[in-house]
Amino acid sequence: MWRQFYAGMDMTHLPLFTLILFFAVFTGVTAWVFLARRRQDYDVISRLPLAETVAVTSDSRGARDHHERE
Amino acid sequence: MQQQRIVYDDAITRRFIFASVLFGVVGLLVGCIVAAQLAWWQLNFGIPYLTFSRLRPLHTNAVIFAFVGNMMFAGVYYSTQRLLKTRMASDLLSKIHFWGWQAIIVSAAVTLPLGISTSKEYAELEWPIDLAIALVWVVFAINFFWTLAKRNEKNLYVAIWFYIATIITVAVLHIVNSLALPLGPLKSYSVFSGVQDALVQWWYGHNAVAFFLTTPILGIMYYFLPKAAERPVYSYRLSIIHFWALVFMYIWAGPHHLLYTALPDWAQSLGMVFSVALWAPSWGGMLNGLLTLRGAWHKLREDPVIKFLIAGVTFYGMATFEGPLLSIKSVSALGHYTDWIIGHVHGGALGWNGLMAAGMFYWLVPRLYGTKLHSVKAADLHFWTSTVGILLYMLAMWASGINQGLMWRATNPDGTLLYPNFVETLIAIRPMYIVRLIGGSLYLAGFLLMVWNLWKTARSGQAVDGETTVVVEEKAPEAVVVGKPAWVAIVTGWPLLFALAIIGLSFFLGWSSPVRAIAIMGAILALGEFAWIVARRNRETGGPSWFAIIEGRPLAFTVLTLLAILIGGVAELLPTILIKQAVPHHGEAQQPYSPLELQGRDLYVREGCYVCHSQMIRPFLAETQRYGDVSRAEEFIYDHPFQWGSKRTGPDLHRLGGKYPNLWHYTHLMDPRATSPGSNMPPYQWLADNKINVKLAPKKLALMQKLGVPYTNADVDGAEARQKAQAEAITADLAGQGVQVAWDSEMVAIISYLQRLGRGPQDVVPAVPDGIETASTTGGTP
Repeated sequence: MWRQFYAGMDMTHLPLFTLILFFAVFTGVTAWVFLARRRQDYDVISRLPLAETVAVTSDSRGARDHHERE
Repeated sequence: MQQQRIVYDDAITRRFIFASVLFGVVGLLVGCIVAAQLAWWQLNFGIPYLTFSRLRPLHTNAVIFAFVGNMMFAGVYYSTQRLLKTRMASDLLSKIHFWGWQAIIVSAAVTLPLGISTSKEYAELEWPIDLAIALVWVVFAINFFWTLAKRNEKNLYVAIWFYIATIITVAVLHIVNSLALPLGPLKSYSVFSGVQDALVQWWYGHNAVAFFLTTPILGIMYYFLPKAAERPVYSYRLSIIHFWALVFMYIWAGPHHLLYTALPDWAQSLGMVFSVALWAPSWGGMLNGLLTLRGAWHKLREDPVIKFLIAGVTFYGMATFEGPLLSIKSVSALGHYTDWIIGHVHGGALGWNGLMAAGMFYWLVPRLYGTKLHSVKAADLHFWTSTVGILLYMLAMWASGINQGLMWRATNPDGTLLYPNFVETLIAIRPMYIVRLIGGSLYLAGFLLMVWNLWKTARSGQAVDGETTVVVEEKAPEAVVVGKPAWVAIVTGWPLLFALAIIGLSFFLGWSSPVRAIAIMGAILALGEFAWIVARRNRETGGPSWFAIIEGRPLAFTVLTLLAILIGGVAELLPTILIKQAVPHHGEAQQPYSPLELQGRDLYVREGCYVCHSQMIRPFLAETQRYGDVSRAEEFIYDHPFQWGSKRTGPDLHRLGGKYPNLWHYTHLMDPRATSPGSNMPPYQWLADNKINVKLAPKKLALMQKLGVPYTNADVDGAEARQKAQAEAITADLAGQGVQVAWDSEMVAIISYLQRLGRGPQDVVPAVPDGIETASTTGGTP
């Protein structure tokens, strides 16, 4: 069926449809992110990499030695 | 509610860093060797395994998949565990991933110098290794998504999105581009041919840059840059736009590698438009990275990690400015096939990937060994050596590329070529090849300094694993909206319904009269406005946003990302692959190769001739004057794989057939400077000594038959006899001019292929057993 679908259409239509799709999605995402949500909505997520971890010494015998990092 | 202690698996990060640094040295060293060979052709010492055309794929594969690949895995394993607050799901899968990947690298390092290659750039590895890559990638994916499933952090940070996009897109690209039928354990033919093969290859090739060298490193940037700067990323909202725009657009950009080729014009224009548009999200991402340092610019002076990361991001900006520029058709007309492209990719690889890797290593290694960096001064010296090295490299290649591009098209007042001899244009750029070697060597020197510094750092401490404590809460009920499972909430979410309605309406725009079109646009605006009001109201009532539902659900997120890349891939690839009319099936040149020519073609692939010679004459006056008629799509329909090439260190070969006598080709392959004084091509003397496997001819024809090449069964049966007859005609011709060479030598096979380029099969018509004329026996224009 899809072969007939393609055979009946001008080749350039498919990319053009997807181009429209792309612009609609892009405009939607941009509007959504910048108009519908505030910067503060993302504060918690944007701080995720900054969470601190401590370190433990790894050794082959399985003994672990705790120490705070820096 | 209970507390849980989590110890991260950092041993896997240490392993990947070690492998990355080791293969980084190898990749850069091979790069310096091949750079030196372009300036001094003698440097392969007459050894086939050390010849430029075989080492260049080794260099690119080592840098992309071994150096950057291992670096990327190190960054992904380290940051994923911390962002999800959980240890990797399976240490065993992590180990299988690590050792499997290293085994693949080693097999690449063995097979590529041996000439075992598919000739598809950055996908040269043969089918058994391709299968291994797919398997190891699946192991990595299972481990990653399993870790996502058992995470202790609800939100998925943007770096994780970039990793998800990398994992699924690389899988799709690798599988589609590697589709091939095997001839034996170490040889296969691509299922695609000619134009289709070219489109699939560069869809893959460009997205290997996008989803192997860019998206994972952007994820790493979004994690390690805030870490090193000790402040969150400049704008998280911008990072969301950056992500979606990038994954949706990158997938379309492949055809910019095929501008002015025989690829259909609409596909070229589409590739160009999306490549130029890519400038925006790329620069959005770059600025997001750079501005993360706002209020902390002093760190740029003090902290070597920040220096490397910021310089890396700056090079990302430069490379993503230059890329769209080079994708504009008229710029590509000048820059394509020249060293300008080489300069461009090294800005990306040495600048963006290399400096980001160094920044990440300098940050990670002290922490992974519970110590401080051994020498900040050495790191600073590394920074300046690499920066100067990259600049020398890029400037040399820009100068060389633009110079050569201009010389190729320069004409006299009477319209004839100003530099009709290709070698003239090569001699002009030789000094630039030496400057490039100096730049590359400086970069390698800086890299070695880093190796020493990291080694001393690791030795001064001992391996430590990160640890964290999480509070595990009772499982909340799955439903996000009361009474509705999450997937229903996603499918019936307002934003999706609005988006579908708007997209649906916009399709009618093209068919309506102006008045109706304005009404439809009004309706679209009203829908958008209404969507905005609903979104605002939803937020004020404190309900979870639709995006928050997606964002917390890796599966929904993965499906959306997959859709984004598939839409572009399918829309671009399918019309060319499915529609037979895209490539007309008539004309003289569309006759299958004779058995001997097919054998010669495989040697052309093995030796990597495509590395320096294109087979694609673009529609420019200067090119038709220099090389002959413009290449047409239908001339390549039996080319499994295509051999268009991407660089002209030597001239185009598409209309080489019949241009010179057999003796010229023999002499040229034995000693290129005997026929072309000043050439930097290495001699291929071993072709005269090596023998082809004559028994393979019928097998090759039979396999091509399966791929749709119209050989008859009689052609297959008579392949050996026909092969010998054609070879003996060539040896007799050479013998008449005093050159003795065996009929079954590789030299004769490759000469037969070179003489056939741009024409029909060149052998004498043998007697067909049943007396029926077949497509392959009618011959072509002599």
